Amino acid sequence: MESSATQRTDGALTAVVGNPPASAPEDRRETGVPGPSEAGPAALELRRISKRFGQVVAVRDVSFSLGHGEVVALLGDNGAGKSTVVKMISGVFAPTSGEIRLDGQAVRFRNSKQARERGIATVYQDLALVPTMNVWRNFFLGSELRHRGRLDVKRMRAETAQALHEIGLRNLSSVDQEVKGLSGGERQALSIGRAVHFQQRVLLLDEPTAALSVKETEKVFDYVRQARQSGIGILLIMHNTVQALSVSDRVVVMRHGEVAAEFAVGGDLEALAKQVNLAISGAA
Amino acid sequence: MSADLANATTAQDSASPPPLPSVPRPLTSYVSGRMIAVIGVLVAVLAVLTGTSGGKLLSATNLGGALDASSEVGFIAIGVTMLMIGGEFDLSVGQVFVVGGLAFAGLDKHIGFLPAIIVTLLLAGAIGLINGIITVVFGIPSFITTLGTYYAIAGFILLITGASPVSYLPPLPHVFSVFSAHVGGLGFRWEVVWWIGLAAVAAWILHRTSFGNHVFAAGGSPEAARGTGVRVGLTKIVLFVACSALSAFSGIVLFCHLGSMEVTAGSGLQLQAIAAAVIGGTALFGGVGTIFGGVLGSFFLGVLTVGLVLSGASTQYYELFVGIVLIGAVIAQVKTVGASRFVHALFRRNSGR
Repeated sequence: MESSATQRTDGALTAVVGNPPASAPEDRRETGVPGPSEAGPAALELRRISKRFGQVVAVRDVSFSLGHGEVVALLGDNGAGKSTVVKMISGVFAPTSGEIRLDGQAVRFRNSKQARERGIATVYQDLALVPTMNVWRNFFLGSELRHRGRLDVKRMRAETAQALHEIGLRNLSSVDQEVKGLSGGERQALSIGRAVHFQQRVLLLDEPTAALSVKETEKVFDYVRQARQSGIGILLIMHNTVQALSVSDRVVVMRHGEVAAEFAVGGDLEALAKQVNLAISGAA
Repeated sequence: MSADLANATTAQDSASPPPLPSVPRPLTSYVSGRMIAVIGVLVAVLAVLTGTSGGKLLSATNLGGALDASSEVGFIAIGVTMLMIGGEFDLSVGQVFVVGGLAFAGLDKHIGFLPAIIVTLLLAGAIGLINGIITVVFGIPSFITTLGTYYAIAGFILLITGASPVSYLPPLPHVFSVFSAHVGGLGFRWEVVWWIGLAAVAAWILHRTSFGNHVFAAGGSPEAARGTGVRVGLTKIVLFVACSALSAFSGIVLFCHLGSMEVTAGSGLQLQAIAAAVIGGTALFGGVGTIFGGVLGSFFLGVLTVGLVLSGASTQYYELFVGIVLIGAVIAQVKTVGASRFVHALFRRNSGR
């Protein structure tokens, strides 16, 4: 499995290895998607953010950045502080100190709604979609298209189909299908496609491949690669080092609430995986 | 291999635009498996009752009578169905129904027909607002909230009326006939037209507006709905208000029909409305259902009432049959939902893996 990951990464990612933020924009499709200023400030930048709960310091002085069209994996054991970082980015709670910048602008979210409005899409494993609603209704939920006061069903169905097609989901029987009947990978495609379609700046994916088969995991990574082309910055929160290396431009390793190490992905991935794992376990 | 696939599909992208806008729609997106089961059960019951009544059920007069009988619970079922799709219950509707009839009867003499209706609906809306705010703001299950308001309102009604019914002496005001007059020679009354009309409006709101979309989301997964910016609490409060208003409207209509309102007329009505919704395919825990189903479920209750009388059976059988059909209908729905998934799977195109 490791060798297949290496192969795939060599094929798809060598272009961006080494200097990801600068070269990533060139990868982008010329579709006129507004947003990323070329080689400008990062889509998301954390500057020494910390979070204290009473006497407990959950996250200390964490800094890293996420460029437009860049995929960064946040790795670390349970309790390393990953989810606390994600919750600060998505506005669930505010950092005790430090700064979050979007496109170079310092922001302070009082709740997740504000984060969402500033272009941060967060996809928690199972909570992002309404299983009893069909695909296109989920896709446009909260941002429905209307025509003279009523839902523009025709346009929403067509745009959903197109967005899913673009993200790489080709074998869906119908956008009128209930999400309940979709596979885990198809659900991820829907969430990712939605973030791209609504031109979010940053997409946070919390364990997007948890509980997925190897085949489905690869598909989800294809969606991520496709999404990155639109210029969205993607932060993956993951456990599996080998999987993370196969899709990301950089990995950030957290341990005990701090950034333990940061790696650009490239070269010998098997060796890199070992290094990363050492950083995760703290033996490095 | 996977990288090849990715490259191949990317190349395809730039070569040919995606095949739009003609998206094929499977039949099951128009008529759900659940609805097929609902209709199937209704037809079966109709067939049995037609047989046992010697065909009398199918006369215009008797079907019209069944429709009249359906509309009383039917108005309420519209609101209850929407509320259940939104993930909440309202057990207070039976008492709000009585409040509707009584308030209208008291007001009509003093301020006139239309103002009386408006004030009554506002009063009922206020009750719904209280139900909604208690449920949403305090996070109390609506089953409990509305059980509480059910008893509170029932007690209040007894205090005000001294338990005696309110009646108008005949002849009833002519204006009441906007609800109670028969429609042409069709065997049913105008109240049925109002019922179907309001149901159509509700169905349109539910399936063709953003608000309706949010109702389904609020019931299907409140977390996901909030995550996309849907104001779940507000959506539910609006539903409680609408549900109460529809219940009071039903009370008004019944009063216009009969010219009297018993203070106990509403007991059990809330469970009949829930039964109508569930027989019509509404899920007990939200996110799934149709107004059309609620209308069919109400019609079933009306048909059962009239059909049993015509069959010479004692009306005491009524509740027994409601119970049996309720359970049978839900089993049929669960089974056909599984079958419709299978149909969808057949539609799934080969992924080319």
